[in-house]
Formats: sequence, C-alpha cells, structure tokens
Amino acid sequence: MIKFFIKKLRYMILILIGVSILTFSLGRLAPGDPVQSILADIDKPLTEEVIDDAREKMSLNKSIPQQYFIWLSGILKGDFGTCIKSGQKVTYEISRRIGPTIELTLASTIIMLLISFPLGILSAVFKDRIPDRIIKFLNTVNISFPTFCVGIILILVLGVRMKLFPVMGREGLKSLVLPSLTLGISMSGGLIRLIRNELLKNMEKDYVQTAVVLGAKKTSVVINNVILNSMTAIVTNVGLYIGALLGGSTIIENLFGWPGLGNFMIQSIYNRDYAVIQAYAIFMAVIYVVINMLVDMICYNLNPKMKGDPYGK
Amino acid sequence: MAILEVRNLNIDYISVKGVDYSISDINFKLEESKAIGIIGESGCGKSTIAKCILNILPQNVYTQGEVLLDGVNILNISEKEMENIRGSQISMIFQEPMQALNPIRRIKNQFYDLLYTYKKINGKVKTHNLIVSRLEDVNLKDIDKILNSYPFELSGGMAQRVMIAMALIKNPRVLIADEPTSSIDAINRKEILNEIKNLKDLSVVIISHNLSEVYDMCDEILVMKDGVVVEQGYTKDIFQNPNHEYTKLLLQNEGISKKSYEKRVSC
Amino acid sequence: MENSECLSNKKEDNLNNIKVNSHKLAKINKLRNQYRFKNMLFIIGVVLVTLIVIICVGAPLISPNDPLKVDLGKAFLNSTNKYPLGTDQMGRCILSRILYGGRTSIFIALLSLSLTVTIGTFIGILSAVSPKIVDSFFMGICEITLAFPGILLAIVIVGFLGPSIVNVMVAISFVSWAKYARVSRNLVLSIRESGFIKAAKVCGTSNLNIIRYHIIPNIFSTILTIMVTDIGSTILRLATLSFIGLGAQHPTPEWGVMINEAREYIDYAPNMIVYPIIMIFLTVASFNLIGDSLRDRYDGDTY
Repeated sequence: MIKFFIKKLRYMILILIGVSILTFSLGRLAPGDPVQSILADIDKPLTEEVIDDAREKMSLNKSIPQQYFIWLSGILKGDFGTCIKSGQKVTYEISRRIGPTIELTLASTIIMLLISFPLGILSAVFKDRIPDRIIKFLNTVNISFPTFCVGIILILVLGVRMKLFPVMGREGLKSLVLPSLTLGISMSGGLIRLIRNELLKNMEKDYVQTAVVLGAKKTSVVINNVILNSMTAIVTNVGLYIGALLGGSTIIENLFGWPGLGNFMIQSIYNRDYAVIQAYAIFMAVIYVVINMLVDMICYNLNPKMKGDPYGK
Repeated sequence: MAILEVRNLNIDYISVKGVDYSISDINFKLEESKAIGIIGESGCGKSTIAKCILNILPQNVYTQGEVLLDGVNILNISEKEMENIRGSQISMIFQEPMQALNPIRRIKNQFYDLLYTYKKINGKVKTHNLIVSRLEDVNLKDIDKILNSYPFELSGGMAQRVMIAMALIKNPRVLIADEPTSSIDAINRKEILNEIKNLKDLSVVIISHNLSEVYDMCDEILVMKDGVVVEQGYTKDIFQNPNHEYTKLLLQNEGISKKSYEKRVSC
Repeated sequence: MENSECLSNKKEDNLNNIKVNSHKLAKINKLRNQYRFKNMLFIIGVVLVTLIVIICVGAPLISPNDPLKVDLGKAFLNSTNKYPLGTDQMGRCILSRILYGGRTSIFIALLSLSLTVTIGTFIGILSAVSPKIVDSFFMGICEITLAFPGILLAIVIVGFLGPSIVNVMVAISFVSWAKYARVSRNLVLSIRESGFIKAAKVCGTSNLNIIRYHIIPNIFSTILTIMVTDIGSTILRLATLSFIGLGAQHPTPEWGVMINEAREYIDYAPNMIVYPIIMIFLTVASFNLIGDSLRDRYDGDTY
C-alpha cells in the first residue's frame, strides 16, 4: 500500500514542481518591468541608485535559477509577495477569499455528482430506449454551451424573470444556488457520457452474463457487477472533472460576482498583479493534487488486487 | 417426456446489410438424466444455441422456432419469468471460469447474490450451510478460505469447480456446459468431467470440440458445421459409422478410428 | 399453439413463412432506420457547419451594416428593417457583429487548433522515433500538462502574457498540444513494428521518406477525427477567455466579447445577450454532431 502512495506522491510533486517552474517563467516573461511597476507610485526621483537598490531587494540581479530558488523558498515559507493594489500580503488576500471558492467548489461538485450518476446509470441501463435518447439529446445540448452561457441562461430564467434567486454576490445560502447549479449542470455533460460509456463497456463482460445466466436478479446484476466494477475507471475521471470544475469556477465567480479566489485572480490580471496570479496557480495546483490523492485513495480501496491480503480478514 | 426439447430452431444474426450469419434447423430432445453433446469447430454456432435456450442473445438476433421446457415454449415468455427459470431450472457453465467470475467480489458474495430468495426465506446461516455443502460436493477443500477469497486467488480447476457449484446451487434440472474443460489442465479435466457425470437427476447439454470428452459423457451427439447440423444420433452410432464427410474428418483428426474405438469397447 | 404446428412443416405453409420473414425484415429495417438516423445527424451537422462558415466568411458581403460603426442615438433598438437583430449599447448592429464575430471566432479557433495539432503531432512523431530517454522525457511533460485543468492553465498563461487574441492562441495551444502528442506517438509506435514499415526499410527508403509517405498518411485519419471533435471545445474556450476579457479586445466583434458587454444590460436588452449565445450554441453543436459521427464510424480507437 505504501509503495502505491509513494509512487503517486512522486507524481504529484512532479506536477507541483512543473507548475512552479511554469509560473515562475511566466512571471519573468510577463511584459512590463517589475521594478518600474513597484516604484511607479513613489515620489522620489528614479535615479540609478534607487532602481539598483530596488533590484537588489527583489534579487533581480542574480541568475535565473537562483532567482527561482529564492522565489521557491519564499513560497514554501508562505510568502507570495505583496498585492500591488491593496498593499497587503498576497497570502492574506488569498486567505480571505479561499473560503467562498471552496464553498462554491464543494456545492458544485455535489450537484454535478448528483446529476451525473443517476442520469449516466439510467442512460446505460436503458440503452437506445427512450430514457437514453432523451438524456443523450439533453447532453449534446449541454456540452454545446459554454459554462458561462449556462450561467447566463439560469440568470435570465431563474433570476431575472422568475426572481427566485439572487444573481450577484454572496449573501446567504440562496446566492449559492445559481452559481453552483451552473457549474454542476455544465460539468455534468462530459461526466454523464463517461459514466454511460464505462457502464456499457462493463456490461459486455463475461461475468455479467454469468450472473444473469445463473439467475441473479437484474437489479443485483446491475449494481453489483456493472456499477461496482466500473467505479474505478469512473472515480479516476471524477478527479479530472473536479479539476475542470476548479477551472470553471474562476469564470463563474466572475459572472456571478462571487467573492472568491477566481474572481480576485481575474481582477489581478487586469491590474497586472503577477504575484497574485502566481500564488493562484500554485494554490490551485495544490488543491488539485490533494483532490486527486483523495480520489486515488478511494480507487485503491475499490480494487482488491491492490489491497493484497489473500484470504480476507 | 423430454425435459428440454428444441424444435426447428433458427437463429439469424442481422445487421444493416441483412442477415450476417444463420443457424438453421436445430432439433433435439433431451431426456431426464441423459446427456447430449454438440460438437463442431469454433464459430459454428454451438454457444449461440446455448445462449438462445437461456435467452441471453443480443438485440440484433432474430430467432424462430421453439425451445420447450416441460412442453412450454420459453422463447416468448416475459423477462421476469425467464429470470425464474435461469439458474433454477436451466443453468449454464462457461469456458473460462476466471472471466466468468466477478474479479472484485468475494466468492461468498457472489453466491449470496444468486441465493437472494432462499436467504430471505431461510436466513443467513442455512444459506451459508447450503453453499458449503455444495462446495464439498464438488470436492473442494478449505472451503472457508475459498469463500472469502477473490477469483484471482483461485486456480483454474478450483474456479471451475466453484462455477459448477454456483450453477447447481438452485438444483436446476438442466445444465448446459459450454466447453467446460477447454481451459483446464488434463488432470483437473478428468476429475471435473467425472464430477459432472456423477451428478444424478441432471440432464446435461455438453458443448465441446473435444471428442473424447463428448464420447465419455454423452448419449446422443449433434455434429455442427457452419450453423447447420450435419449429423445427429446416438454416440456409438456416430463414432462407429460416421456418415457425413465432416464427421469423418473430425474423427480422423482426433485419431479416433474404428480400431481404437473397438479397443475402448473391449476394455 | 397453432403456430407451433404450422412451423413444423415449413415447406407447405407459405403464408406463415411470409409472416415470419416479415418479422425478420421488420427487425432488419429497425436497424437500418437507426443507421439512417445517425447518418442524418451527420448530414445535419455538415449542412449547418457549411452554412455557418459561409455566412461568416461572407460577412463583409452579407452583413447589413458596419459592425464597428457607433451610433449612440440608435442604441438598444429592437429588430427593425435596418437592424434585423437590433442594436447594442453603442448603437452597433447586432447581426453584423455576430457575423463578423463568427469570422473571428471560427478563424481563430481553427488557427489555434492547427497550431496545436501541428506542434503536438510533430513532437509526438519525434518522440516515437527518438531514443527512449528523449521519449520518456516528452511523454512526462505531456502527462504533467494533461493532468492539470486546461482552462486554469490557459487563464494563468494569458494572465501573464497579457490579454490579446494572439496570447489566447498561444495559451490554448500550450494547453492542448499534449493530447495530440500522446496520440500520435502511440500510433507511430504501433505502426512502426508493422510489416509494411519494415518492408520499406528493407527496400532502403530513408527515414524521412518513411515518415512522409508511410507514417503520416496512416495517422492522418485518426488525428483528423480527434481534431474535428476538438473544434467545438476550442471555440468554447476562446469564447470563455474572451468573456472574461482575456481574448479578443473590444471593439473587435467576437461572441464572447459581445456576451461580456451585454452582461450589464441583461434585463434591459436581453436580445444583446441571447443572439450571440444562440450562435455559439449552433456552431459548437453542429461541429460536435460531425465529430460524434466521425467518432462512431472510426470507433473511437485511441482517444
């Protein structure tokens, strides 16, 4: 068991390193001189001395790999720099906003799962019959809309016309409804297809036929043989979908004015606040890695071959 | 009266282009405690007949004819009624026991799945005892260990025995064995065949391409080629005096000549 | 009961034969209808896509007005003769902006995708014919790139490089090349060991020619299928990035940008937001229909 996790851990650390290198490089590639933008507000005349002094402070005169490690060590200590607009530490700004994002992500994930599993299972069990056709049709429509359009449609119908739910900001549980519904519905498109295909693949297997032939009840066959066996493949992909959901949440936060990390990030892009963008990338990578580890743990428990104890407890 | 009778069975695999493959005109009668063998090369339709009897053919298949269980045609009955027949009246064992068992469930749970109704009526303990006794019947040792293990932990012979126990646990009257020993080693093969033979009150349909196996077990034989029965009759007659060219070819290839047959008889 | 007696004498009872055969025919026809329906979907997809592409390419000829012309006096009009779909907050013709926007969206999407596929396939083939270390290195990068949620990465990249259409193309390519690299590398590896490649080598064909004349034609159809199924999602990504202001910049007409601008006036002038949404939906849906049919036909090999 430990071997399995060490392997996964190595993989995850590689991803984090990759993301950190990427973020760092992008930060350097970004247009605009970081020194100029920091010193832009200072009244002092910009003499060579002042500029050099600032460069020294920001370690910009060291070699690139050195700068990377200085930056990395700062990050590992939790120092992501300062937010240009507000003057506060980036870590502080992020901690203020990560709550709403996690709230939104959690709610959307639950909705996505609640929609995808029943519909995917129905679609596979009633293959080519009426339920399947309806679900497939709705699905095709769903994946042809970008996530934010689903949001806008929900806003128009439920928010503006029927005035059921607030469409902006975060005040009370009701305002969570529209954003999480949007993300949940939009992301369920691909997941429904995936679940359906996995289940259908498993229905072709021999042991399903055996169970039927030996007289097991149909529901029992479906649950115990088809669904359970597909779970490993499905759960692995759910991790990827939650990742996509994280990405989509950025946009949805922007659309609904949800005070989360994503919205903050987009504002920071307009303000050219690169420190924030870097921090955002790293945070998202960490969240993503954690989610995938959890997903892998679940998969591991589903698969007896990996557990490796021969004759049961 | 015959337990199982197949009359004028025609099975067509259809596709967009029309009929892809046909199995035509199958007729046989299976009496109590007797055994019928269906032999022929791979792909000639033997397994399809078995699946047809149990009504587990895919959607793109068209069947005509009758399969009579105690005189009642079971081809047109509802799915629910068929569920009651499968396993309890007619049962089947497959060629690859390792593929036929669910790899992520323990053996005991797979048994419990089948014995749903029995468990409801008689409770867990009696069900467990029933399973244990059945597994003993097929000469398995260390039964508790086996029940708690997963299929990949069993050997081929053990797995096939478990399959036989599963197939017979509801006391069906007909057993269809689709190439039951093809993937088993020689020693286990003999033992398993003997175990099947010794099961009383069971009528068996054996599908095989192993002629000596069929010779040992069956009273009657159907020889099939390309979806058609080319020869049919009592085992002794066919082995002694094959009429059709194909039958002769089959027997020749297995090295069963008139002489070797006579040798067997005399022993 | 009557049937069972009749069927036993097939030769004599022609009437029953016809009945039985008509049932069989009915089943065959059912299969045929399913097949025809799928074909129809494909054709609908192709027709719609062609229509949309023609309309958008021909935007300069078809659109009734100049998409950039501002006329504040005529803001927020509903459908009129001059402005068939109405005007936006600056008095610009919505229909013209949609047509020109389609041009931008589809053109940029195709451009990004071509870039992605070229880079990805190139690296994939290169990786497959390189020594194992190089191969593992490239595949490692692929895996890491693929593992991370695409849109997040794209937003971060554009965030750093600055909002512009070119940067969006770069970002989308960076995020999507890995899929094509992996697919083409696997395909090449599986082809490499097959007979006709070995035969070509024996005949003395140079490596470059082998790649040109043998490898590329064989992976072409699979890559093309995957590419078509990706057009829809590329258009969606582009629209999404434009929606949050990172892609096409105003005043360029582009569907995502139009929706973004229409946000403020959502209850006041819903037609500003509804029409671009419908256009995105129709375009992506028709590309998806084509992609799905292609995938059905080629049986979803690798992907």
